[in-house]
Amino acid sequence: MAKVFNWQINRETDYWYTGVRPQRQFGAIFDINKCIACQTCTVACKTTWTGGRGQEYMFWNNVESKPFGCYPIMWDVRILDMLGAGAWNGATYAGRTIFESAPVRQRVLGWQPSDFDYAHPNIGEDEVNRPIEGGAYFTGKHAAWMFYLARICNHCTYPACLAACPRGAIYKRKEDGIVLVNQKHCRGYQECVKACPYKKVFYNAVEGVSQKCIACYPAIERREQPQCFMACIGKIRMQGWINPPERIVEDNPLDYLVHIRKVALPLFPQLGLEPNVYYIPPVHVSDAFLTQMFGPGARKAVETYLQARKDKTLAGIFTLLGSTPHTVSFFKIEGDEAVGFDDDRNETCRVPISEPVVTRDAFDEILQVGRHNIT
Amino acid sequence: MKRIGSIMLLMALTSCGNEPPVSLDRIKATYAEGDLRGITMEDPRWKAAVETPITLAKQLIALPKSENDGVTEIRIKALYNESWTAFLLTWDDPTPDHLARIGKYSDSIAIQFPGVPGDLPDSAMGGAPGSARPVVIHQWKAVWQEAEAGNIEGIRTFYPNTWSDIYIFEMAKDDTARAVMERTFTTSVAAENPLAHHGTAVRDLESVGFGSVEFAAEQTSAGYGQWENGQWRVIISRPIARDRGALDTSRLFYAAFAVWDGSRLEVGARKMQSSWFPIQFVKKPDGAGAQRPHGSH
Repeated sequence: MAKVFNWQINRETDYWYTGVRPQRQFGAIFDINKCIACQTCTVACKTTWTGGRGQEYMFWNNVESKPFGCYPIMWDVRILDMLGAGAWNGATYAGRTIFESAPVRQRVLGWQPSDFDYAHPNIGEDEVNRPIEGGAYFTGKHAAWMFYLARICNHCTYPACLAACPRGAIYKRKEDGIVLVNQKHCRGYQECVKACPYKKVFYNAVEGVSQKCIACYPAIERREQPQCFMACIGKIRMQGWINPPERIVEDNPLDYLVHIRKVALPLFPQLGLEPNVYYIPPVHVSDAFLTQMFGPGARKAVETYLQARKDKTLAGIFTLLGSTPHTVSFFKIEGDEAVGFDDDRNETCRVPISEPVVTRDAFDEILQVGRHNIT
Repeated sequence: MKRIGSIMLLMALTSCGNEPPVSLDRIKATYAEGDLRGITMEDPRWKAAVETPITLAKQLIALPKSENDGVTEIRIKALYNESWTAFLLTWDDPTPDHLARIGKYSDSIAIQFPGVPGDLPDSAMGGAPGSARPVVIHQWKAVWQEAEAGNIEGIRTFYPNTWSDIYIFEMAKDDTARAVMERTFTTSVAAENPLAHHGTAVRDLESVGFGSVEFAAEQTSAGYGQWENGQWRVIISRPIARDRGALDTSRLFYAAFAVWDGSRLEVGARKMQSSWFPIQFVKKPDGAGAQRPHGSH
């Protein structure tokens, strides 16, 4: 195995191939606090990409309820259990990644789901983390919690699927870091399915090949965001480009949220893949759970997020989520507006950071009618 | 035999120390007149063929590797004539795996021959990438046979009790919407993946080292398999002549074998395999075929 540097765990780690970062890396921000699990993203993806035979069970995009929801069943619990406990020393992960824990006969530590594991995509839906006692009532803070976790392929910097494929049929595009299964060379060995800890590669039994989220690369090539981003009615998502810490660009919204403000965090960074979908953690969930899921920066990220309303730059970037079909490569705060720009710094959207409030009289003198809604 | 022993010793020394032991028994290919391409298991010509058991061992060179042993022995009968050769391969397997589905794999068997004349390649797919030499492989897969028979139509193949209000792939085959959906969503077909074209049960492949196996442009082999009473019997037949991997029946030739047991999660490099095994093409009564010692291919 080669040694590569994974900035999310702040140390070198083993990987099957030498580390060569793409020219730029597809990245995304998901604000969990805004997701309502309407599954519009899931349907948008499903109708766009997985309508074929053998793809019936596939959800390249899914939204599951945490802590108990999971697709496939217990995908996270199983790999965490196999990996064992791993401590963080500050920002540095002291445990072992799935590459460092690879059994002697394998390239990656992983497990093979069965078809049964995919049979209940909504298992645990809307279930909270503990029973609600009889007579409980709201006191300003809920006694139990749950949240919705929208998931796509993380287009990892160090993909386990790519490392595990004995045929080299999975590749990472140098122009945008999107991870793809070569549909011509795949022979359906399912090693990628087994290796991906996020379980975002799927086996198509009718075609005999594995398939996965392609980050809607035809849209990306047109500088547009993927279908699941465009369809999101909660406006929880933004697609852009993420740089490693040594190449931070301050007016890149992903770099700003991830590296500078550290308010958006990777999913299970301890697995060691350097995933590139970054989540703003839910504000109402236990620290222990958030730390396990998003790493040691989770509490700080929540605190920063809770103060975002008072921070024009943060609030401005958040207004850009879901406000444009275009990839948001750069941003700028101008007065009370947030502005998004494309790769060439052409303006693609302009959004008021705070919605202007107009108050009308409760009685319309012209029409001689009362108004129900005056703001 | 002394020469064969030398070759075996050389192979043992050059194959990373992980090669399975090589039997010095030979597979004896019996001369048989007539068509061998379409030969069936019931064909009386098999009665004249000598059955040779050979031992298989886990593939232990390339990752990933199997955790446990799979099929450890296959029994081989071989027939040949001037134009074709046919192998009848038998092994015990209490659990037939006809389909590959999520987390499940198909049973399979393959015969490998040197791809070009000259020194024998490493028996492990031709060797390590970079120093490998070409090999030709003829592989039978239960799932390919099912596909060839038209038995992999869609989701009901795998889940017969599937229920849906409207399912476009169960509309009439000439339905325009269905045709559009099939064209749009079957990406492996669009990418011209040979797997997607649902060809024959036995296919010709070529490899120049681990991880490089591809379907050969020249697809000529034939055969089929049958599972009965805890046993697979598979026929693989191929022409003697081939652009790549032609057989020379005038001398000892070499073949290697591999078996995948789907129930044991064997697929790809997770397999049981043999090293090179000598095949003696026993000459027919009038002298065709020969038993000259192996010099070079």
